[in-house]
Amino acid sequence: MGKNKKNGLNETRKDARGIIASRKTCKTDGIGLSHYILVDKKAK
Amino acid sequence: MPINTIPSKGRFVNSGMGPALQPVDIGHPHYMGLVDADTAFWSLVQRDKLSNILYDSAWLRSYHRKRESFCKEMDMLRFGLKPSAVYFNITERCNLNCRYCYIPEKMRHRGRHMPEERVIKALQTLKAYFKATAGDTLMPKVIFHGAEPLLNKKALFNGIEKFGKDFMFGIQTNTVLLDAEAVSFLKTRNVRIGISLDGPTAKIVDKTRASWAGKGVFGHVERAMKLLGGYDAWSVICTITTENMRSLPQMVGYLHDNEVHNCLLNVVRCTLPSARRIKPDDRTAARHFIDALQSSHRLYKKSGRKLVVANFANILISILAPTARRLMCDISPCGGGRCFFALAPSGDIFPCSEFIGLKHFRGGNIFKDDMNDILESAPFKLVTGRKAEDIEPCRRCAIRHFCGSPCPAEAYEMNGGMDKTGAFCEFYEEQVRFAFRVIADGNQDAFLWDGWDKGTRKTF
Repeated sequence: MGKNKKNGLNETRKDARGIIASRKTCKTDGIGLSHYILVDKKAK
Repeated sequence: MPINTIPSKGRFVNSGMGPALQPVDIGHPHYMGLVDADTAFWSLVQRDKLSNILYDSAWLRSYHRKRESFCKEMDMLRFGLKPSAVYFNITERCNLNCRYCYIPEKMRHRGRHMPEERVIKALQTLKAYFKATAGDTLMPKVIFHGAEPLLNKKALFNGIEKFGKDFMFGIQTNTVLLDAEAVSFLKTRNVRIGISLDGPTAKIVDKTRASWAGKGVFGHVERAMKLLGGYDAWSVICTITTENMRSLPQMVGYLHDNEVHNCLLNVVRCTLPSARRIKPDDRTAARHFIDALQSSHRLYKKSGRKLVVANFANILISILAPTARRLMCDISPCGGGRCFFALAPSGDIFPCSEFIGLKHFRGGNIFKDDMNDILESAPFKLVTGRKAEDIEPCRRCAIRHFCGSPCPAEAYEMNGGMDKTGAFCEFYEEQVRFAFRVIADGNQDAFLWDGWDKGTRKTF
């Protein structure tokens, strides 16, 4: 495990074998648009 | 499926019930991709260690244990969702004559508005429909969309006023009529606002977006951007064509300078012949698009302030957390007719705004037909049944669930059928390859909204 949020990098997994792999899941509440975007949060 | 009922235990890559992992050249100096297209599972592997991983039984077992749940997740995402958004065209008319518009010129020039009482009636019908299908679990979205919604302003604003508690509203506008009063009304009702701008200078914008008399609109957009300053819920859509693609990096700089936080850099949809005349070459468009993304990254590193290119962010999210995506053009079946649909001023309903103007894709009429019948109609089924597995070369493409083979309207109108690709292929390939390179370099968070993964949990 080379990277995580604690050390200020990202959470994508990179292991000693030289593999990066990651997958997350969630409810699909936010899904459903095409070329218009509803933005709930301001990006910083 | 219980393991002892199948002929193979899936111990080996690419045979029997083993994972079908395709190596993918992502153009990175050190990594290449391994993708199981069906489940959208991916790994990035150091190029000199690829053979090791294919023999790594612990890693394969780890994926094999998850494979079924990933299959179910993709099935739900692709076939299990119900509509949660409507693109509501309350007028056929537009005060601009943009070269790539998907609405036929005759409609935009001399078309009709939807009368206010019909706007209210349609919103009542939609409210009842969403109440029946989603209950109180979901706030449905209504996006007032092109032609130009503000030409029918009284009906538009009264609809928003009456149904503000029932829908999350959005509006896409060319800004010509977006004055201080309109901005104030929309802001105070928390309406999401999308504005259209195709370049950082009037000279570039005027090539594709101008009034019927040929007058440019750049000044209108700049004025509107000033009025929107400080409001969180607005974004800019830029359509990529031959006329502006070289200026995309400057466009990103211009938007960042103007403190825009979210934009879409959408390659032009080629549903109608007029748009095809300014269709860029895939590879060239991709090069400029990626230059623009890299420019946005540099600006973020320099200033600490992000300009999120939302269509690219959506591709990244489709890789990192498929169910967290927001836009549904880059998966097949696309969101048209199943996650959203489009309502025309006549009351006719189409699977997506791209189909307005194509009468053979009319599913029914909101004032005459039952919503459920419309969603099950043959024209809707034609769109919702379009799967990458039925399209050549998508059926053997490793990245088919990160690309989605958009767009059915283009495929049907431009290339002759739903089993064809749309107007672009290599552009989307390059976009996904770049997304993987961003992940390989650990830079994905720089391209995503802060907190994008709130509410997600890790599954691999």
